[in-house]
Order: sequence, then structure tokens, then C-alpha cells
Amino acid sequence: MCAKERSQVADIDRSLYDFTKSEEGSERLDAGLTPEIVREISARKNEPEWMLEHRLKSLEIYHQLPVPDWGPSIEGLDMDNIVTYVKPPTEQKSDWESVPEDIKDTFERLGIPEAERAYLAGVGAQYDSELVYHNIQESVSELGVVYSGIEEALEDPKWEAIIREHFMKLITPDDHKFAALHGAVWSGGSFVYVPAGVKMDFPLQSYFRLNAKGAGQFEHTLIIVEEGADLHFIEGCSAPKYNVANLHAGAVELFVRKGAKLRYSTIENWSKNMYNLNTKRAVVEDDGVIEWVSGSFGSHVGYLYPMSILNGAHSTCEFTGITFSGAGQNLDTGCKVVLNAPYTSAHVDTKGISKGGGIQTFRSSVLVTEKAEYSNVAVACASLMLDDESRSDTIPAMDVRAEHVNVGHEASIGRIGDDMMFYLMSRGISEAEASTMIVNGFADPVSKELPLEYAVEMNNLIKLEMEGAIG
Amino acid sequence: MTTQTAIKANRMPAITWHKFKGNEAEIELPALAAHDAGAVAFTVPPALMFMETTINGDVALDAGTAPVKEAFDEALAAAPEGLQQWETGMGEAADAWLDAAAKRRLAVLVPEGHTEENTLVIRIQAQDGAAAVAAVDLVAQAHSRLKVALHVDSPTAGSGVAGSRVRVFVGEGARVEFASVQTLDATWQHLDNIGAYVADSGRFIAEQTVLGAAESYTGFASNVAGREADTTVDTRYLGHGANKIDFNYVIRQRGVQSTCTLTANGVLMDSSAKVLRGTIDLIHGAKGAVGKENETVLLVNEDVRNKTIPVILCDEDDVQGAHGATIGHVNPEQLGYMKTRGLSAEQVEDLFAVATFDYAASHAFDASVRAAVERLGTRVLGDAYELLQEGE
Repeated sequence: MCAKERSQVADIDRSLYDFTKSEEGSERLDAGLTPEIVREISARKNEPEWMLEHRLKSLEIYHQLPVPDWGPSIEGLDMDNIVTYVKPPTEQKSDWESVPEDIKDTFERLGIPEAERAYLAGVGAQYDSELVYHNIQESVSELGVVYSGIEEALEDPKWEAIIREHFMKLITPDDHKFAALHGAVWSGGSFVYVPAGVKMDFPLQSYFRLNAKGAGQFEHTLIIVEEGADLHFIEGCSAPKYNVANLHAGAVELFVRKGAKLRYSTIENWSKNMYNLNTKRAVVEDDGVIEWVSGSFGSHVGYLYPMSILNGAHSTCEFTGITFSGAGQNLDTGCKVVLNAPYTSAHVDTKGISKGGGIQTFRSSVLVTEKAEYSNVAVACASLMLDDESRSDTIPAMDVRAEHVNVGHEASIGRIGDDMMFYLMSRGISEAEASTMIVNGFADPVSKELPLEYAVEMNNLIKLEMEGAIG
Repeated sequence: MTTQTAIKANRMPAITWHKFKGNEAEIELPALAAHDAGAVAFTVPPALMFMETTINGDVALDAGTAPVKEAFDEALAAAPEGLQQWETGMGEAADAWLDAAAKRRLAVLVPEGHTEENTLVIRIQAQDGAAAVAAVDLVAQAHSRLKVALHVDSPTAGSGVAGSRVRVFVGEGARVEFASVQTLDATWQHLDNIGAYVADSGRFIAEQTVLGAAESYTGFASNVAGREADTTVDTRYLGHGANKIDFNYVIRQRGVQSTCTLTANGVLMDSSAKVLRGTIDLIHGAKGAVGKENETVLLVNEDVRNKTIPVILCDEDDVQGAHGATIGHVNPEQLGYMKTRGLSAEQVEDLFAVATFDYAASHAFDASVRAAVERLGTRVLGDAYELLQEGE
């Protein structure tokens, strides 16, 4: 899809994302969280025994761990009412024509097949709890790149051992309550393996759509980028809005080997009844690079802090993020970085926007360990408040245990300057347009890191969010 | 007499991940005797109205006979509803412990319009096996001026707790300058707890210097409630040996066009550890408020540990909030220059510690504080202190 076509999004309303499809033919397990439900999920997937044990152990841990008391309230999330597994009425396909019409229409409306044709090396599409489509270009496959459903890979003896070696090793079930929940009921998600030295010219994309009312989505993404390889992975997600809580508690584990580079881009646009309690983590070896580009626009409540563990000398992390919190939203986002080797560096640049009573919090943690001598960290966060009903908090934390390091942090909070508005309006631009223009400019450091098509989408999301912001 | 206890203190208003282990401090306090008469001394300028309890409790603070007490109650009552309970930086548990341990109390009233030229001096000398604590309430009525100096020292060897609980009411257009210096040796615990209320156009200016103690806990809360009210804090600290330094600043900006500036500069040597939590809370309605916070930390040993948590909470759009932090080693260019002047890397590092002591000594409010700073400097740096001071 070209940028011009994509820009048509600006002319339509939120129904681009906010449409529902019938659940006819879908299979729902009972709501709630019990060992029986966990066993049922595992049985349906015909998993190896170790995975069932992992699930049951995770469930135990889930019940032992407390609900976080430091972030937004999740009182409205009652696990007894959440359906943890909904199977769509199809198996995974590798051509869109074989996908049931309703589901295919969903992804067509979201522009996924077009995007695949235009500029992607492969696409995975998940609908509720299962992947419904997965495909990779043959030329990419011939390079040895594997991009498949993680459960599909688990059935392959060649990959089962590798998945077992890496699965939930970065994000362990005891990390926090919702990591444990994920470990118990995970379903769907992608496995990516990029062999040593392979540099991908085009991105891979996974798109997650949650259609079922009152359901949870718990996909697991596992990516291994071998020595000297290069990958750009794009993740998108959306859901229609319901009047009951939905839950997303996915997990993303990224392994970046020596000299490898991985860019992980996300445009998150869950519906505003969603509790997005997602966990993402990357470990980076010598000279490796992890780049996160993160746009958070949707969800009722969000907890999202992609974490980078720089274990290799000269490894680097870049995190570029934007969070837009509107009416009824409480989005607590940011990142964590652990510098755990000499000559590592991290650069964090985030923007936060709140309006219409929305609450936006930037939260970060930087740990420079004793091993990270001669390392550098720069963290910058800027927050923009568009009215006096909204709230914006900044809670960064730095723990430095090495001597020859430089750690810098800067943050600012404020509103759109009257002088900027006056200037634009004196040029004949309406107040609403001027405001949107300024916010787009504020978000520019993030959008310029995205592929053009996604940058356009992000700007359109901002435009949608800005509707009604003035007056 | 206090009993052995553990308290949680210096908790941030908005906490973050518990795994970070920075949300609050846990303080183990031993069983301690009450201090004797010499441990706490007040020097109150004659023009001020004051009320003091002695070690024997000769005058009770709640006797209700002194106009100071009435003025303080009035000041409390003047605070907006919901603020009758003073917020202090260390929190309620530490406040209660300090209050119970304080055997000398002072309440001072600076009358309306009065500019006090002399400094109100509070001296606390640590006593072996005792809790040497002063409790001080200050009311600066409208358009008055007051300077306060607080020195916490350990002239003799021993261990125990020394500290203070201070509440300050800064009336309309009043100005209170509060300078504190802590020069405890490395066997003592230090607890320093401040709560302030600043009315319209009032200014509360605090300079806090923390140079010693095995564990030093500083809590500072200011309710910048009045229109165009201001709180300015300048903190300097030096970590050495294995000491632990723990700060918690909580600035509630409620006043329209109120301002706040938090500045901290520190040097961490040896295997010292420091936590600084600084929260600027821009409360709804504080239109035009400006809150700024900045910390610079110099790390001069691979075994040091620094935690910095600069927080801005913002519930008002028409404000400016900013914070910054720079944490690192001596600038390589600076280091290179010093080496060309014949200094070893170790001497350069010591030089920054000497500079911290020198700054404290040069800003000391009297000779006894200066002497205490120099005594501690010599104990911490040995011969290097005098040598580097003299520029040899």
C-alpha cells in the first residue's frame, strides 16, 4: 500500500478499527481462570508435556503474585469474567482466499493484505486466540528465514528444542502477575528466526485483532536474530470497543545476537475498553542493536515498558515512543534499560500527550551495572497537556553502579505555547488545525522512525484523537 | 528512651516498581536513651518571641500560655482545609519517632513585618547511646524575615541517632532562609525531617549540606500553597566510606504562579550509596506554576551506587515542569587538565571531595561549624585534605 492510499484513513472515522464481526462458529472456553481451562488450552494445541507443566506452574505463580500497586488501577478487570481462549472458525491459512470471509474482510479493512503485497516480506494475522493467516515470501524463506506461528514451530522437532531453550526465559512467569497469566494461557503469536548474516530488506509484520467480547488475547512472539543479521519487525493491534473489559497480556521475547540489529515497531490501537498489560523484552549481545519504535494510542488502561538488556560489549538500545491518552484512558508507558556490559549505550526519547481527561504517565528504569563501565545513557521525555482536565506524570528512575559512565536525563511537561498558536492562527489556520499541526510536530521524532505508511497511519490516529480537542 | 524499631520513611508520593528498591527507605533504629541537656541548644535572637521546653520539660509546649503556640495554631488553621496535618518529607512514622525522641522543643514566632538580622541557631550534638533530637516549629508572620542555621555534629565518639523535626510556616510575603549542615562521623545515624507551608508571595529557601554519618535520611516536604509562593532547595552531599544517604523531597505546588527549584549536587566516593527522590507535584489549579529540578552526581569510585528518581506529577496544563539529572565520572577533559598540573587521578577525585568540604566550610555560619567541617574533612581524606586545600 502506498502512502497516498493510506492517507485516505484521514477521511474516515474511527470505524476503521471499531467494527465487530459475528462470533458465529467461534469456540469459547468458559470465562475465568482454572487449571481445567489451562489444561483444555494445552490439549487443544497438542503441546509437548513440558509446555503443559509450564502453564500449570505459571498459573500457580499467578495466584501467588500481587496485583501491581504502583500503576493505574485495574479494578475493572475481573479475571472471572475474561474468556482466555476463543478459537476462530478456521485453521491457519497461507493464502487470504482461504480465510473465512468475515475474518478476511476484517484484515482487508485494516489494510493488511495490501500492505503485504506492497512492502512486507511476510505477514502473520491473529484473530482472537489463534493465527488465521501466516505467510512469508519465498525469496525470504530461501535465505533460511523462518517466520511462522509459534505453535506451528513447536510441532517441528527442528525448532521445538530452540523454542524450549528460549520460551519465557527472558520474561519469566515470576516476573510479574500478568507475565504469569501469560505463561498459563498464552495462545498464538509468531516465531521468527533470521540466520546469521541475513539482512532483510523488507519488514515482517504481525497483526493482532481481538474480536470477541469479554475475551483476552495472549499471543507470544519469539524472535531470534542471529549474528550479523538484520530485521525490522512490525506489530499492529486493534479491537472493536465493547462495554465490558477485554484483556491483552501478550509477551515478546527478542534475542539479538552478536553484531545483529533488530528494530521492533508497534502501533498499538486497542479499543478503549481494553486492559493492555503487555510485556516486551530484548537481550542484546556484543555489538548488537535493538531499536524500539512504539506508538500507544488505544486501551482503557495500559502498562507497557519494553525492556532492553544490553549484555554484550558495545551493544546499543534506542527507544523512541509516543503515547496519546484521551478521554477514559490511563496509559502508563515507558521503558526499562539494563546496561550490563562495557561500552554500551542507550538513548531514550519519548513523547506523551494527554487530553480530554486522559492520564498519561512516563515511567522508566535505567540500571547501569558494575559491568557497564564506559557506558552512556541519555533519556529525554516530553509531555504535552492539551487541556486542564488531563494529567501527565513522569516517573523515571536511575540506578548507577559503575564509575566511568555518563547518565543524562531530562524531562519537561507543559502545554502548547500561546505564541505558537497565535502565530499559526494569524496565518489563517483554524485553532483545531493549528493544534493538530503542533501535536503532529511534537510527535515527529517518533513518526520519522516509522516506515512511511505507518507514519501516515500514526499521524491520522493523532488527527482522530484530536477531533473535538478544541472548543 | 526509645525502643529498638524499624520504620519505613522517605516514601515517594507516586511509587514505581518495587524491584527498583527505591520507593522508600527502611530504617533500623536501636534502643536509645534520652539525650541530656547539652545535646540540643537553641540560640534565639532576643527580638523574637519563643517558647522552649527544657530537658526536664519545665515548659510544656501544649501549656497554651504562650502567644507563640497560639500563633502556630493560627498558622495551621490558616492552611486550606485538608492540610491541617502537616506533611513532612520523611512521613508519619519517622515524624512520630522524632517527636517522641525530642526532649528539647522550640517554637518561635517572627512578628508581622519584622526583619530579624540575627540568625536563629539550632545545634544538635550526637551523644553516645542516645537520641539527640530537636523539635522546632517556626512561624514567620506576614512580611517578616528570618534566617535559621541548623548544625548536627558529633564532637565525641560513639553511636546513636541525631536529628531534627522542623515545621515552618512562611506567612504572606515572608521569607525564611534555612541552612543546615550535618557533620556526623561514620558511626551515627542522622534523621532530618522538614515540613513547610508557604503562603502568598512567601519564600522558603533551604540549603542542606550532608557530609557525614553512617546513614543519613533527609525528608523535606513543602506545601507551596500561596499565590506566587516559592520554595527553593539547594542540596549538597558527599558520600564516603560505606555511608548511605537517602533524600526525599516532596514539593506540592498548589499556588497560582507558585515556583519551585530543587537543585542537588553530590559526590560519591568509596563504596557509598545514595538515593535521591525528588517529586514536584503540580496540583490542579496551580495555573502559571513553574517547577524545576536538577541533580548532578559525580561518581568517583567503581563501588559507589547512585539512585536518582526525579518525579513530576502534573494535574494542571498551564504549568511548566522540568527536571534533569547528570550522573557520571569526572569529565575526561577536566581530568586531563588536572593531570597536566601534576595531580594523579586519585588526587583529582579527592579534589572534588575537598571542594565539597571547602564549599561547606566557606558557607558555614560560624567558626564552630567550619571547624566541624574541617575535622570531618581530615577524617575522611586524611592528609590529602590539607594538601589539596593548600593546592600542593
